[in-house]
Amino acid sequence: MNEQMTFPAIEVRDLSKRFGSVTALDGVSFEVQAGEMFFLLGPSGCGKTTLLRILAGLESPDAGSVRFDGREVLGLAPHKRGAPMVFQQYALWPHMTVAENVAFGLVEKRVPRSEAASRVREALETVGLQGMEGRRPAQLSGGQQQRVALARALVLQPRVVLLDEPLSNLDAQLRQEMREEIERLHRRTSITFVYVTHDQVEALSLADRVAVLVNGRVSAVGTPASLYHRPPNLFCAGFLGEANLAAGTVRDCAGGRAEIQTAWGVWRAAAGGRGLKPGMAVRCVVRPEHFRVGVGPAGSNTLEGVVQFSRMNGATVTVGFRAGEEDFKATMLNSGSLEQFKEGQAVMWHVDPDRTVALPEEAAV
Amino acid sequence: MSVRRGRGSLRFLVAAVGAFLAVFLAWPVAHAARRAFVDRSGFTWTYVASLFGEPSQAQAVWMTFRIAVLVTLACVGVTLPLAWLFARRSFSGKTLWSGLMLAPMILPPFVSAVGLKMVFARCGALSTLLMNLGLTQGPVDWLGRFPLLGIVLLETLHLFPVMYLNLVAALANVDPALEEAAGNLGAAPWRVFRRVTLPLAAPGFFAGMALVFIWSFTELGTPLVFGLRRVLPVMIYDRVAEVGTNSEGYAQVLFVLIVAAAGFWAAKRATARRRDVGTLGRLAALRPEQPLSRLGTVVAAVCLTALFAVALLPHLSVVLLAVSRRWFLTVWPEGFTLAFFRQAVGSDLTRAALINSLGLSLGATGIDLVLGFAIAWICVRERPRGADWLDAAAMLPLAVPGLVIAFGYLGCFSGAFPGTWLDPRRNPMLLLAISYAIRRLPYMVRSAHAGLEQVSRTYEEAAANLGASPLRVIRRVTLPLLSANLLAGAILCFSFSMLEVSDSLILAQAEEFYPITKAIYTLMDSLENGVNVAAALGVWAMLLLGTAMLWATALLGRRIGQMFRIG
Repeated sequence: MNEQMTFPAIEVRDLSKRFGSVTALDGVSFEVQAGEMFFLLGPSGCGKTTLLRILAGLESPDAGSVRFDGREVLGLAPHKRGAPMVFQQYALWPHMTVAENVAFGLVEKRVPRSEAASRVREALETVGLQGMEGRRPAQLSGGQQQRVALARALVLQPRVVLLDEPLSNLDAQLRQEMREEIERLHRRTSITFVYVTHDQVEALSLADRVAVLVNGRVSAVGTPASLYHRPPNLFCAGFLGEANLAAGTVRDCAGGRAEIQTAWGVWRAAAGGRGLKPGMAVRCVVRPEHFRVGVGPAGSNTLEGVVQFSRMNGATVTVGFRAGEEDFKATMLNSGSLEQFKEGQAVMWHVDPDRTVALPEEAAV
Repeated sequence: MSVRRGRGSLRFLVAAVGAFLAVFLAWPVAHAARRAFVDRSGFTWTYVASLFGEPSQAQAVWMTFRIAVLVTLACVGVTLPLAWLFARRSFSGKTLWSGLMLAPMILPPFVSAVGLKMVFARCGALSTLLMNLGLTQGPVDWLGRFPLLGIVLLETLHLFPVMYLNLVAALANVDPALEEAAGNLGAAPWRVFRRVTLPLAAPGFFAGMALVFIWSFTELGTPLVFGLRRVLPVMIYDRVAEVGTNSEGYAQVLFVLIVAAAGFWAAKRATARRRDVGTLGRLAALRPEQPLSRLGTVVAAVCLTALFAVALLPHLSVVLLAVSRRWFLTVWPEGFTLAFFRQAVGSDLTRAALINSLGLSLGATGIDLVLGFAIAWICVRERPRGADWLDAAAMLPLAVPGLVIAFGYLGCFSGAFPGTWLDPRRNPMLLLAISYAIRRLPYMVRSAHAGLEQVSRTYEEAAANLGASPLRVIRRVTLPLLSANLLAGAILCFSFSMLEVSDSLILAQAEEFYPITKAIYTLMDSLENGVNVAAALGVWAMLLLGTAMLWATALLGRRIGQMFRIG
């Protein structure tokens, strides 16, 4: 029993899959812990949906292994995986009512009728659809269909739920609402969620951990905070949130810190990536919200820029400026006036060296 | 589902289906093809060469093509506006009209031809009417003058429902959002129909055209009754007696096979590229049927009335024939009687024929449901290597006239299993049911095929994902979503089996085994009101089939309304 506890809920090893001449997955490995909200994040075509379908048993990989709770499942038919999926298009059966859709898996499990009925009712209550039992999918709004799809998976009380871009068909308002709903459902249950999306906001706001996929490979795995603040490579830096990338060359590197020669003088930064060496071309990653106006305390990384534009987003303002040959963006709280950021104005900026990460140019992936 | 497990059971299924087709389709066909090149003196090109070299045969080839092309074009002309009207507009009486849509199919063309002859023949109603009005001098033999016109008319009237069924199903499944997008980008309704709707509905459209072309290319009964002997099917039929000695018929059979297969292949290639026209749309369920304007309703009613007045003319004439004491050189029959109806169900011959036909048709429909769904499933969902060949093999019966299959059965099974239960000379019932099933298998496969392509496999994946085994997925999700298609296929199988002509004429040799069509054919030749009793039997068959079709259409209509406008 104890031994079993040590197994990750899902363990993926060296998965590869080709469709003809297209490589969908190229040696993908990661682990998902029980109860985690785990995200597979990547641009379209990166192989994330293929990966999810392999977990569900709807595709077979060319090589690799998939273990649920330490047990190899690649040989199992889809209906024996016990990993219900929420499909991107919901895939609610049009010939069944809402209640019949939700009860589907319970019927397959031969759950007694009365128990099934109460669990269906409960599941529909959980997603806020009580009273809709008799409707057909076509009579529901997009958000309601989404909820039925969730209830249909959760009613089985599975160990793992797979979600394939579940919010991509909803409008912004509804997406926000459903995001909170999914978070609430995840907190209430101890179910492991594997969530596929291309939307970094979803990943950053919901995930316990994220695997960033690009071109069929895992680019990075980590918590949203670690990936955001200490991106391991330039792809992650650019894909998760916005990033300014100041060009420079490594002067010195020791103890996880690096000195970078930039066009605006020497910057100090945390050394990211695998082993920076003097002379290496790097980019200093600075998040827009980490730029501050002014020279800053001694030891700050500073640069002077000419304002290109300023824009109010509501709670924040964004200022675009040009320094040397490069464009930058800074975001700060909206304090009321954009006077000092008139176009053409020269502004001094600084950023804390602890908020600056130097990453090698080549290590895009 | 791209499920790699269960390969074993898939292989078994493919093997079972393959074996059935091999024994009951490939064997008799191969027998015929071989005989086209091999006679008693060994291998020879003589028979194939004479197909084009000999004037009478070349003429028949040309004539057969002409009939098939004209019938196909006529069917397109009739069906296209009809399908658009029924798939896209609502108007009063629509349910009634769409119920009537199948009516032309409830009478075999060769029975229709008998009825039509009463109207258009030298001593028929039209000729007499024109004479009485003083428009013509003497009796005119309309059919003798324009036999091609008569055949094309009759076959078009008989076959347009087949194309209609295909096209209307295809139109109903086009995602309205795609049409709206076209309208939104500046296309007028007619342009939307031409540039978006029609290309998206192309699979159903081509399927319908191919069916009609191949059918009219292989039709035997109509030209036979009209006395047009220079068409390939009739020439083949005429060779039946000398089938043991003369290979000319086999060369003609081979040619018909090749043409039909080529037609089918071309249609298939044209549609293959559009396989993934997405149909998981949720919004499509909300397709609003636009009501016709008042003027439109009137125009539609007038056109539909005219169409059905013509389409049902043969039926009417058969009914009149069945109740008329005497109908010769008069516009209307002289005197009416119901005696022929009593004779039609009263005699042992006809009662047995009705029972035989019902049993045979039900059996054939059952076989086709299982076989057709299995083949469509293999070809659409599993797609193992060689799936295209299986699909082509299942479509082959479209290209094989019933008389070829029937004669092949007679030759193959009587030769190989003389005196056993497989010998059609002893008891043809099993082979009759199988030959009906084989002949109508393409309709079931087409129907199931189209349905499977239009039901997104994501529905099945979702079911498997929630714990349903492959068989349970089929039972709980695939079959219910496909029920309208399967029902449509079953109706076609059943009704055409009831009306199967050539297999019945050849295989049923003892009176106790006669199906309806053979009984009608026998009665037509008998003296003393035989034609009238035959017509009366035709009326009984019409009533039976009409009822079945009405019921099925009602069922189908409701199903379509409820769940098949999803994609």
